[in-house]
This record gives sequence, structure tokens and C-alpha cells, in this order.
Amino acid sequence: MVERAAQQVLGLTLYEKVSTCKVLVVGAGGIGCEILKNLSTTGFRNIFLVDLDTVDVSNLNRQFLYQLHQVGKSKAEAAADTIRSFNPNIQITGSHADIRSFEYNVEFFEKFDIVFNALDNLSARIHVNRMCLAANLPLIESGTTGYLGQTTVIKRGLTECFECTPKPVPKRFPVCTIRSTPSLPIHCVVWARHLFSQLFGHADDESAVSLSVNAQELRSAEHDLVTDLPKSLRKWAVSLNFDPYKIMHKLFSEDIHTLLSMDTLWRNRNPPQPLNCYAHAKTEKVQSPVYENPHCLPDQSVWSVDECVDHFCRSIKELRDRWEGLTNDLTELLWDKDDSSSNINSSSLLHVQLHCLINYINLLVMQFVTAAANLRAYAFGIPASNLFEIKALAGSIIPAIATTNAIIAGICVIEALHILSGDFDKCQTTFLKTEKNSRNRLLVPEKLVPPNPKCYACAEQPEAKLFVNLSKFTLEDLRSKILIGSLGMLAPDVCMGPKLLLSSEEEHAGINKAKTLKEVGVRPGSLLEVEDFLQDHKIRLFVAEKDTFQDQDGFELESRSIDSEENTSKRPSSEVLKRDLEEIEENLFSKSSALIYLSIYLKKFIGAGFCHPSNEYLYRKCCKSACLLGWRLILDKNAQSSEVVKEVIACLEDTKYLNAGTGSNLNMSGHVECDASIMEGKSGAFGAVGCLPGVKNPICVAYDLMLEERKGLLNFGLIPPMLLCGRAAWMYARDRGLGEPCNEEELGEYLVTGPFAV
Amino acid sequence: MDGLTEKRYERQIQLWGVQGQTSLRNSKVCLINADATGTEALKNLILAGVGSFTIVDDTTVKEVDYGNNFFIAEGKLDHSRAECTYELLQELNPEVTGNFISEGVLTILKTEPTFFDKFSLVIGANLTERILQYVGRDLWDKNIPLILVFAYGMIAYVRIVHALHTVVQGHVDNLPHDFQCDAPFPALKKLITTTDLDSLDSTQLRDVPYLLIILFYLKKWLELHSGRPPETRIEKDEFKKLIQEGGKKFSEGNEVNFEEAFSFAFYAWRRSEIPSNVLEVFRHPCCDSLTKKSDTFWFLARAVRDFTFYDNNGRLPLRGVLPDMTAGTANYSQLLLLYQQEAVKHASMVSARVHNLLLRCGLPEDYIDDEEIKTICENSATLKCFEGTSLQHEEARLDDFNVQPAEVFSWYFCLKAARFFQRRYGHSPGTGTSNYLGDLLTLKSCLAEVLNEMKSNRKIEDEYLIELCRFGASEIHSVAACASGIAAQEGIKVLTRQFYPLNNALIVDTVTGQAVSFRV
Repeated sequence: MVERAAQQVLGLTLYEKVSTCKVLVVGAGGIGCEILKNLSTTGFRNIFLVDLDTVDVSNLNRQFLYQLHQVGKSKAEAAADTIRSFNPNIQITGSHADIRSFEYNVEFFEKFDIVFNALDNLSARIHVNRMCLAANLPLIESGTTGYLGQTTVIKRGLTECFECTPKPVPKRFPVCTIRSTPSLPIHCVVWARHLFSQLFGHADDESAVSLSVNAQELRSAEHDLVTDLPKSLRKWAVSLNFDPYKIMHKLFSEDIHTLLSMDTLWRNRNPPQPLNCYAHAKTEKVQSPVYENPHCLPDQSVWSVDECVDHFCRSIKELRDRWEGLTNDLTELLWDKDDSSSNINSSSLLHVQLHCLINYINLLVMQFVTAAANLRAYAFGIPASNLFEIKALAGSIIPAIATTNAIIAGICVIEALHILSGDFDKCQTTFLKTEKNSRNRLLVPEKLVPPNPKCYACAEQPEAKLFVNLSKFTLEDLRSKILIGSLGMLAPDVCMGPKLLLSSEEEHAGINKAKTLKEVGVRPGSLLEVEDFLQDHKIRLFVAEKDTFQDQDGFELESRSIDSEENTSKRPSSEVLKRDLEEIEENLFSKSSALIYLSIYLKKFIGAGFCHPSNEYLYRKCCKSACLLGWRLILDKNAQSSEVVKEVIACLEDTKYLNAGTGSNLNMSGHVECDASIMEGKSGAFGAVGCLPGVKNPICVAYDLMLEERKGLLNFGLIPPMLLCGRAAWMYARDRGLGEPCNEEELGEYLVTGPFAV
Repeated sequence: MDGLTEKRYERQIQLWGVQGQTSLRNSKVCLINADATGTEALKNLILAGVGSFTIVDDTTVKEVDYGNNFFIAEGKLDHSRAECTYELLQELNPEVTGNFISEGVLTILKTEPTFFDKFSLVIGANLTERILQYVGRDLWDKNIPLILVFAYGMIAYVRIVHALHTVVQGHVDNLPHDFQCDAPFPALKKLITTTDLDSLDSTQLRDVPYLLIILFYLKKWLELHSGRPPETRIEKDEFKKLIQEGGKKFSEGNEVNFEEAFSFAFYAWRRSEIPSNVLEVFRHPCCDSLTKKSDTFWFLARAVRDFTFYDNNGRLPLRGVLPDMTAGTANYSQLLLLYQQEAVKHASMVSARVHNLLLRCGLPEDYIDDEEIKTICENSATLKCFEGTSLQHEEARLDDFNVQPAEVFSWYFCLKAARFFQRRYGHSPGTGTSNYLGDLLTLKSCLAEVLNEMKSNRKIEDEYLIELCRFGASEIHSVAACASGIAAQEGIKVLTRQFYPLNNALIVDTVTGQAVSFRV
């Protein structure tokens, strides 16, 4: 077998490397299939594949290594078989397992040369990222949604890791909206999903409910979210042998009546209408619904109340039978995991068994959730949705097509070739965009960004400061909310000095997770050493008291290991800033748009001139301090927007890292000459200076000109100057003492170009 | 479409809807050249669910195919490549039927000149210049879309050759809402006149959707300003103030619906105009010269045009959708219903016009079904037609080229030179002698000829040509897969008539990781 083509283009050395290197592919979904095919046809010979999933019908439109008869089989094994049958010379092992299980430890990862992430969920991505950091392996990360896609390369110490930039937090809804006052279809879907978990899932197990939208929210309020029968809902249902009508009567009639009795809720809202489900009871069973409209697919039609009641009855009965048919060890049903960001902590074997089952009963679950969500929607006068929409709302379908995966996977393997040939500097982040939104560019490359020194995952010695209410916050909160929830660990151990506070082993004598931090001796200023042996990951947590947090739900995490000279405790963390911003927006609606524009504008400003990527953190820092200044002016001094703009720009001019004011690039004759202009939207007044030498803050001069113009005409009807240039501008500034002008000797002395910090 | 089919395609129906899926299912695709690039492109289309495919390839399986073509099984050396790839490709999707012809495309066309007529899309993978010109001309005259895809070492080139392409659903992001505040339809007008926000208490006021707030204050404004909407900046600010003050009824600051009204106040003076892309469609000669053979699109476009100018005072049919608004359910649904009813009315008027046009051309009424009419009414603002460039006319427009980054674009000329070289010398540059650089000088003169022919004075460094020789026309699978992904995606856009396709060429440079589109 000759891959002459590959040999000639790649060169013999690289070709040798390709055929001997060992590759780990995590995930055999849409991108995974394409990557496997590309690897096998590019000459890669040693592939290890891990995937937890089984083949589903909805995979077949893009995951071409599987066929209809393989539905229900392990993806990893089916894919390995297919690849082998196409090319018997390839050593490929397919393992049907969770990449987060303990057998795949750092030693396992170290056997490979390159890792491909073709995953669909955040927690596995974070885990593989950490394993690759620990094993110092290059990781090629990729993802697609619909027509859009992205790939990037991660290498410890050289590039940003997956966790260097915060990932978007799934959208949350206030508990009371879900429980009492839904107004959108999504509220009903969240409610119905929780109902499912309460009836059939393990209500305390986060895996039962954590599939996307608002796991934490639900957990914190799980006792009363669905109905006021706390926790015992399932017991109650069991005692009725899941009589669907009694359950429906309770949920859609009694509970609604209870809600109606709280009239404060309905003063400004449309009150719900209790449903009489008995009235919709059907005497004979409808075999399968008839679809009169040929354009309307089964999943696309919206069920009427009758149909919902019918589906509710049928699905709840079948689910009950399944549930009772389970062995004693498996007393819960899980959500279908497919492509949603799941967070499954149960042991992998159990999960594998369950997962096969899930594919089978998935449809039932969706029907149950659709019926329940729609009944609730009918009760609250919210538009009902069809099964298809509910699936999308529940986060279990994300558009996915073969073409996007093909493009992205092609790039992934090309990145692997760059890595193997030693041209790491050729690696980059590539975005697949729609050409219209990116000026004719379909694939847009970006340079890899150096690691974020504040990153919890890849910093030399990651540290964080934790603010909690010590007498309310328990060890379990620490474990689930902070270490697993926010810091992405799997099995953390926590030590305070010599004392072990939390252990990753299940039953460790002398540890009571229900105790508060105060009870176990944690004081403000205590240092907790957290370590996850599986991920080979350590982080130091400094604890601080914040009793404004009323209960155990409140916490704040702030990164600490930062650019050395900065005193960070004074600077609010980004979350705090964000919250500040929100507050400001609430208080000062009319100025909120100014604030948003401020942030956007600053980014553009920073982008002017030459920006070295290694200086990014400096740029961000400047940006942030300028933003802060702007917000303070608006908040504390209630300053005019034009004044705020002036001050913010002046602040940016003062930093030597940016190409404005101090730090400007020199002109051809080696001097600094600055331009600045400002215009006020409201009055239309404008002021500008050009080629202005020897003034520290040219914007102040422009601002002054603008103010002058706003005052109106000069004597004899003369128009005040709007644009002053060169020496004239400098004299104007000197005469008025603007923008810290200097005398002629100093001209050009202190305004040298700032050094580029590299 | 049954449940299983729907389930198979549910992830993509999200993007192009049931109609898009149906168009795919009704399409017939032909692939010329079943090499790695070609089979990858076809694979993506088969997975997406086209109706049928035909592979045309007269070559036999060579060793090199084993290396880079995934769809050739073991032990098929010297078998027909069309047949081998057909066998594996057709396993991908049981709902797609396929066949193959182990003959050269030129031979086929000689005996059967109408061969291509039955296809809705032809894909040509790494075609030689000779076949390219011939097939290109044939398909151009028949207005059948041809997508060319070339994978050449680390560089790939995709080109759409289609005389006239029309798009119904553009799926344009951020399309402005279609409120028609400037000329409300009768039912809406009635609602406005009967609305009196001033008489409502603050609880009732909270339930009014922002659109109605805007319409109400616009009515007030028009009364005060002799029917002239806010025009100058000052007037617009005044109008906004009017809304703001209306919201002051609430003791503790403005309510959300008034805030929404304030920020969307511009709809009050926004004129419903016909977008330029739609005007282009309306002005197209095809719109005027309808015949029995005209594409259904032109019947629909003509009906929409006639409706717009004769029945609706120069406005496109109403879309009948409203964005989410903070409001009471009853108020919102009342408003929504008005828009929906009006949209249904418009659709039925357009439908009558379509039927009339069909009748005049001697076609049955059900030639175009109502669903299509509904779709075009809902999407009338995104209609667009694309006039393509034939392969023979690429030269004429070259002066307009202004593609950034320029270095990516140099590959366009280099690839053209490579094809030129191949036609003249019978082999690809870099494969003639044992040393791949043996062809460099000849290639350089080919490039000079190409540039001269295209009247371009572009300077292209030797490095490009050296790389080109080193590539030796080989297909790297990952590059081929990437380019074919793009080609297939464009194919789907063309077949579904949804989304605006590439217009009309694209270079993929996998060394720098860029893909830049341009118009030749």
C-alpha cells in the first residue's frame, strides 16, 4: 500500500512520524467519525478511541461510520470495526467507556503523542484538557454547531488551555418563575423535566437533573420546585401506583388552585386556569394519531389538551413499568445525554448500562416531558410547543450537519501534521464562519494565545480566594459547588495543614460533609490545599469570610495567582465587575447603553496599531482600569457622557503600552505627534487636534475645543475653531494649560515610544 | 417522510426545515471523478439525504487511491473506480439510491447529449481543463448548477458555475421586523383607533405590547403634526419623550414594555421599503417573460411582484410574525392574530395571482402547491437571484479583483497555471521527472501565459510555483475532506434554495488555515 501522495507532500520524515505516532481520539460523534477517517487515510496507524455513547438514529445523518443496523451498539466499537474493515493495517482500539473513569489516568495519557477532542460536553472537555496538561500532550480541540465550527490547539505553557477563558454558564431561571409564575414555554419545559426527575430520577443525584439548563438552581430548590408535596412526590405517586389522572389532577388542578389562592402573585399577571384532566379522559385508546396535513410531521404537530392527556397517561404508565422493571441497584432513570452538556458522576459501568436503556426509552421520556410541559402551558395560557421544539428547548438537540464536521475535522488533522512536523508555530485557532459575517472569509485563522496566568487549570501554581459565609457553608457545598461545580474537578481531596477535610474516597472515617466550614476549623485567612489526583491538578484556596451571604448558596471565587506586582485584592474580580455593571444598568437605564458602548469602544481602541499577542494581558488590564474609571465617573460623579469618554481616553493615553498619547508610535522623523477627536451626539459639537506634539493628553485639548464650540459663536459671529493642527494646537493647549503640555525643551523628550513588554 | 426518516434528519431539519429536506430528497446529483475529493463531497450529500446519485468515472482503482480514498475497499486494484466507490457510498444511507457509469464523461455526452438534463446538481472533482471547459459549457447552457472542487496538495479551490440561481429563503440574520407602522393595514388601523392608553390604569398599561404603545403614540403624533411622522433628529427625540412620559404613570419608574417601546421607537418612522435584492429579482427579465418552461420561482416572484405593486401599495406581503414582547398574553395574541390574519390574506391574494399566471401559461393550478406560496410570502424580503460567471468569461472580470489577503489569492492563478500545464504537457507539474523541480521553469512560463491571457499584471513569487511542483497534484485526504465539506455545503444551499451560496469561488489554504471567497 503506497501513500505516495501523502509522502511527497508531507515529506518522508513527517510521513514516518505520522505512521508511528500514537493518537488518542476522545469521542466518536460527528467530528470524531470524520477525524478517524482522515487519520486513517493520512497514514496514521495507531489509534485509540474512547466513547461512552451508543449509536442513535439521529446520528446517521452525519456519523457515517455507523449504519442503521448498528443502532444501539457502542459507538467506539462500531467505529473501530468500520475503520478496520476499510483499512486492516490500522491498529485501532475502540473502548466503550467514559474518558473520566479512573483507568484513563495520567500514565494512560502519557502513552500517546497527540490527543483529539471530539466531544460534545463541557465536563469531559475540561477533564481531557487537564489530563493533557498533566501529561504535557498537545490537545487538538474542536466543536461545531450548525454551520459554525472551531478548532484550536492546546499545549501546556505555550497556549491558552481550554479553561483559560471562562466558558458561558448555562442560562438559569429564577426558582419562583419555574415554580409559580411561568411565562415562556422554556419555563414549562424546565418544570416538566424536573417533574420527571422527581418521579423517576434520583432526586438527590445531580446527574438526574443536571443536563443543561439550570442544575444548580434546581438542586437548591428541589424540595418545592414542582409541587408542594416535598420530596415525597415519588412516594405519593408510588402509593397511587402512578395513577395518571390522580397525578394530573394534583399537578394541573389542585396545585394551580393553591397558586391562585396567593392573589399577590396575580395582581399584575394573568392568573392560570386549572385544567380538569378528568374531562379530557379518553374512553377508547387512539392507536396512532392521524396526520391530515402532509406537511406536518409527527414530531412537528402541537398536541391539543386531549392529546397531551393521552400521551401523559401512556408515557407515565410505560415509564412506570420500565422503572419497576429495573433492578434494585438502578432505581432511577436518567435523561438522554445526547449532545447536551451533561455532568454524570455515577460510576461508568452503571452509566453504560443505563445509557443503553436510555436510548431505548428516550422517546417515552420526551413524550412525557412534552405532555407535562404542554399541560402546564395550557394551564398558564402559554403557547404550547411540539415535540421537536421541546427537544430543542430541553437542550437535547443542537443542529449538526455532516459538512461542517467534515471541514472542521479536516483542519484538525492538518493541525496534527503541523505538530508532528515540529512547526508548532504554524498551529492556530481556526473559526468556520458564514462568509457574509466575516468579509468573504469562510475559515478565519487566529494566532494561538499564550496561557492566562490566572487560569485555574494551567497556571504554575493556581490560587484562588474564596468568599463564603463560614458558618453556613458546608463541606459538601465546598465539594459540589466550588470544587466540582466551579473548578471542574472530579474527585478532590482537601487538606488544611495536616488535616484532611474532604477525601475523594467515598467512605472516609471522621469526615462529615454536612458540617460547616466553621465547625471543621476553617477561619478567615485559612489556606486549603485542594488536589485531584486523577487530574494531577492542585489549587490553593484562600478562604475569606463574607457574611453578607445569607446562606450556603452564596459564594464568590476570585483568581489570585496573577501578574505579580498588582495588588489584586483591591481589584474586583470579573464576576463582581459584571454584577456591578448589572446594578449600574438597573439603576441608570438611560446610561446603560453608554456603558456597553464604552466597553465595545475600548476594545476597538486597544486594537489600533501594533498589538503583540503576548501583551494581551496588559491590554486587557488597561481596558479594565479604563472601564472602571468610566463607570466610577458615571456612578459616583454622575458625569456627562462626553466627559466620561474624555477621561477614559485620557486614561488609555497615559498607558505606555497603547499606541496613543504616551507610548505612541514615532513618525518617520522620529517624533511623536498625536491626533484626537471627540464629538457629542446630542449637540453635534465636535473638536479635534491633529499632529499635536508635546501634549500628554491630546484628547483633553480636543474636548476643550468641543466645549468651546458648544458655547456658540464668538464675537462678530465668528465660528470657533473645530480642528487645530501642529504647533497651533500645541500653543492653544499651552495657553489654556490643557492636557499637561510641556515647554519646548521637553517637547519630544518624555513622549518616547513605550517599550513593548515581551 | 416517516418517523424514522425524520429522526435520522432531525439535526439538520433544525437548519433548513422540512421543506429543505424535501428539496434535497427530490434532487439528483451527479459526480464526475470518484477520487478522494469527489467521494468526500458526495458522501456529505448522501448523508444529508439527496434523492439519488450517479458516479461517472472511467478510471480503475490505483494504489494511490487506497492511500487517500476512504471509499475504496481492500483488494479492488484495477477494478472500476466508479463501481467500487458506488458500493461503499450507497451503504451510507439506505434512503438514497445510486448508480454508476464506468465511462468517461465526454464519451457519454457524445452518445447522449442530454445526459445531464436529469440532474439537479453536478459535482466535478479535480477535472482536467479539457473536460472542465466542455462540461462547463454544456451545463451553463442548461442552467444546471456545477460545483467544481480541486484539492491540490495543501491548497483547495471551490467554484460554483451556475448561470442563474435563485434563493427563496435567505435566512438573513437580524432582518428588521415587519410591523408596517408607516401604513397600517385596515384591521391594525382599527385597533389603533380603538386603543386609548390614556384611559388605562397602570395595571392594564403593563400588559400592552410595545408595538401597540408605539402605534398609539404615533397616532397621537400624527394628529399633532398633520400626518407627518417624526423626521428630524429633534422630532424623533420628542417622539421618544412622548413614549417615556406615557410610561411615567407607573410610580416606580418605567415598566419593561415602555422601555421596549422606547428602544424600538425607530419603527415608528421606519419605512417599509423593498430591499435591493428583491428589486433585482423583480426587475429580472425572467419575471416578465413567463412561459410553460419557466422555473416555479419566477411564477412566484412575479406573483409577489404583481401583488406588491397592484394590490398592496408597493409593500411586500406581510410576514405575519411578531417578535417576543413583554405583554399580557391576551393583548399580545390579539395583536399577533391581526398580523397573522393579514399575512394569510396576503398569501391567498398572491396565491390567486400565481394560479392566474399558471393558467395563462397553460399549466395546472396545482403546479405549485400552497405551501410554497406561503413560504415565499413569509420570506419575500430575502428573495435573491445570483447571476453566475461562466468558465469562459472568468478572464473578463479580472480587473475587479481586490481580494484580501492577496497571498491566498495568488493560488487562484497558480492553480489555473497548473491546469494549463497539464493540458499542454499531459502531466501535472512536479510529476514529469524524478525531481519535482524539473517542471518549475515550464510552469513559470505557463503562469506567465495565464496572467497574460487574463490581462493581469500580478506578481507571483516563485515560492508558490515551487510548492505547486512539490504538491505534484496529489490529494491530501484532510485537505480534500475540508474542501469537499465546503463544496457539499454549497451544494445543499443550491439544492434547497436556502441561504445565499458562495459567490462564486473560494480558495482554501490549509497552510495558513484560511478560506477566502471571491467573485471571478
